[in-house]
Amino acid sequence: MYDFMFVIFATFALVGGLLMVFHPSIVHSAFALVASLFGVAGLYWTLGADFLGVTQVVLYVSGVTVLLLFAVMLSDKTLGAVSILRCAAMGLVIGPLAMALMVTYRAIDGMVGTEGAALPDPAPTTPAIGDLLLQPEGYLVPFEVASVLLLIVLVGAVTLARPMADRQVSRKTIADRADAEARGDEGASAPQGEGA
Amino acid sequence: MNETVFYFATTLGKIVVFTHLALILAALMVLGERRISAVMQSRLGPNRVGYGGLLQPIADALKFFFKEDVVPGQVEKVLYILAPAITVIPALLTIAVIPFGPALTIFGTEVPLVIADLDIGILFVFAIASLGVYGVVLAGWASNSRYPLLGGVRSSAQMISYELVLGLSVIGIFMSTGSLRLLDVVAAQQDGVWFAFSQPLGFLLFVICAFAETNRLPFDTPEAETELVAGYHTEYSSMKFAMFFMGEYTAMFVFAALISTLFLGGWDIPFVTAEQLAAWGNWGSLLGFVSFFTKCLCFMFFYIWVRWTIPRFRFDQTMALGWKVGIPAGVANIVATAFILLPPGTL
Amino acid sequence: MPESALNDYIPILLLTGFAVSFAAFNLVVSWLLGKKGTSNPDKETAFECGMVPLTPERRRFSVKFSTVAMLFIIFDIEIVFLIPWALKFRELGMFGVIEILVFIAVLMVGWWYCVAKGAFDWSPAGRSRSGNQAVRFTSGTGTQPSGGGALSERAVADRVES
Repeated sequence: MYDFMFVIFATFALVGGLLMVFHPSIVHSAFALVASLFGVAGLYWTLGADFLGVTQVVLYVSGVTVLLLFAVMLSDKTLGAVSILRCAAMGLVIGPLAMALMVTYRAIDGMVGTEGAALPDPAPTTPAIGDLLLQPEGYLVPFEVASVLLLIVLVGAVTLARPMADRQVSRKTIADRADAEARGDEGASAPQGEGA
Repeated sequence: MNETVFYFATTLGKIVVFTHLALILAALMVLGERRISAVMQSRLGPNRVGYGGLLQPIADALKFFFKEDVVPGQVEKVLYILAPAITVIPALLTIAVIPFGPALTIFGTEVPLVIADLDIGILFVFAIASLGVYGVVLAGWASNSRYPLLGGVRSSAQMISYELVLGLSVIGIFMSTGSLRLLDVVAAQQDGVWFAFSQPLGFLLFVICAFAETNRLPFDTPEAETELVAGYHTEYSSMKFAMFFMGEYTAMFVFAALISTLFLGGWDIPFVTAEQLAAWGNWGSLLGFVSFFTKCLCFMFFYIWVRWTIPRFRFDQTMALGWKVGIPAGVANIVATAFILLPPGTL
Repeated sequence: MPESALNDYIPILLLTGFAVSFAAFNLVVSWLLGKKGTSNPDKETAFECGMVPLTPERRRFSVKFSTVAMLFIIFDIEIVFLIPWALKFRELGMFGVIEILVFIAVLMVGWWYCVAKGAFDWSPAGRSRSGNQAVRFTSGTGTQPSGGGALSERAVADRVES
């Protein structure tokens, strides 16, 4: 049962990932990423981390990827001009590097060569996570700091969206004229398009 | 009988029965919608096929099968065909964790009337239901046509916005029950009051989200006929078109079932305790099942009723309601629940 | 059967199989039974209310859609954090409530910032109540009504959307 589910979800993750890298159309790539991330969620499930799996689906499969899709679908289609070969070459470098890092970490941990951990007991994981996050001896400080991080991201997202708006129409159209207008007007020299 | 065989037999039985129930109910809902709309507009509606038009859904399905499947030249073939499937599959999967009634006793073994009673319960529904967004986005993008794209993009923005409110609105329930299992939620309501009464704000928000997530009026901007022809399924025909409807109406049933389970006591019958129901054995189970279905049907009637009562919101109104009202209201509900539920003296 | 956390998911797997085959059945049967029509150029083109499409279909959209998706992720993370707390709410008591209130308060500051910056205002600038209603472009010609000094970035965003 475990092997069977592992094979299914690993196939999803790997085939999705390969499709994402090698598909010429960037929107297709984004949809392939959906399959890949869903496969990863399934792998969490098979390991008994059901809450993590659901979080993966809710946040990555339906959140991050929808954002990606919007970004891709709503921008110019000339985006897909990156050479696939260059991407593959980069992957060949980064992939083994990441693998080496992980193995080193495990070696320091002293877990290389040991038997894989047994499958966890069928116990609900969600309350346990709540305990870990909110007990003072747990991860309370990181939890609260996370909210500040989220706040920073939120402010960043709202602010970034404005220069992005400039960028989208900036092909000698409205924003250019607007800039000219703003320059002509001394009173209001609001910094515009700083992210462009 | 071998335990494993029994387990698989009952599980398969439940899957077949519950999915067919949902699909048949979805089909009847299409008919019901047409008939009830007709009554509300002083028309007759489809009443020729079978008694009172009861066989109309079967006639429609057959017709859909035999219709020509027009695939316009500009579409992205693979994704275009995948989109209706991706709409239907998550809708059917969400049925898995919904408890349809008290446990049946078959050959001396208790069989709970739920396909899978997961620890994460309701979160499973949210996760899978959120995949439904992709059916819409895929259809919109793969059609490679103006109105579907507009509809698809609008719909996805709307669905993810209201997913937030949906998530916030049920947290009050988890605080009361301390569990995400839907069976526990029902049990908590059998012992106490229905959450519709103890969580009125959460209930209201959830109902609004049920409309927004299923793209029903007054939130049907994704397929607003007057501006977008038919929204994301403009370029679809034949059975593919029908599959979008199947997915949509099954999702409506799932939301009706969720509202019954989370807020209206599930299979709970007012003034009948869980022990009394259990004392009647399998007849009690059947009674609970009927009670659950009655609640679902009432809510599905409510869907239609609202459709012909409230006009469509503009898109900016939809988004403003979700983000400016829904989120603070959901947070306020959580904070209020926290202070009400905390035992006095802990301050 | 061996007890493992996976056993709960056997029915889900079976149901997935059922749902997938149901969808496949519908697609295949309608393909087999459906009428095979002839093709003509009009049938092949995208729907445009009976007109011949003049402009390419895929156009850029308002950046607001991306903003909504970004904000969705942030608030969704908030909800994901709230759920484990909700389950442990009784055990943690007042201490947990204060922790969560701090957490929520920080994020609601962010929410307030979004509202103040008009991130949730989808209506054209002239119609929205909050923010500076400096300028609203009339049409694609780009002629600006006078009276607005610096062009607000909002107006640019609105121009893109409309």
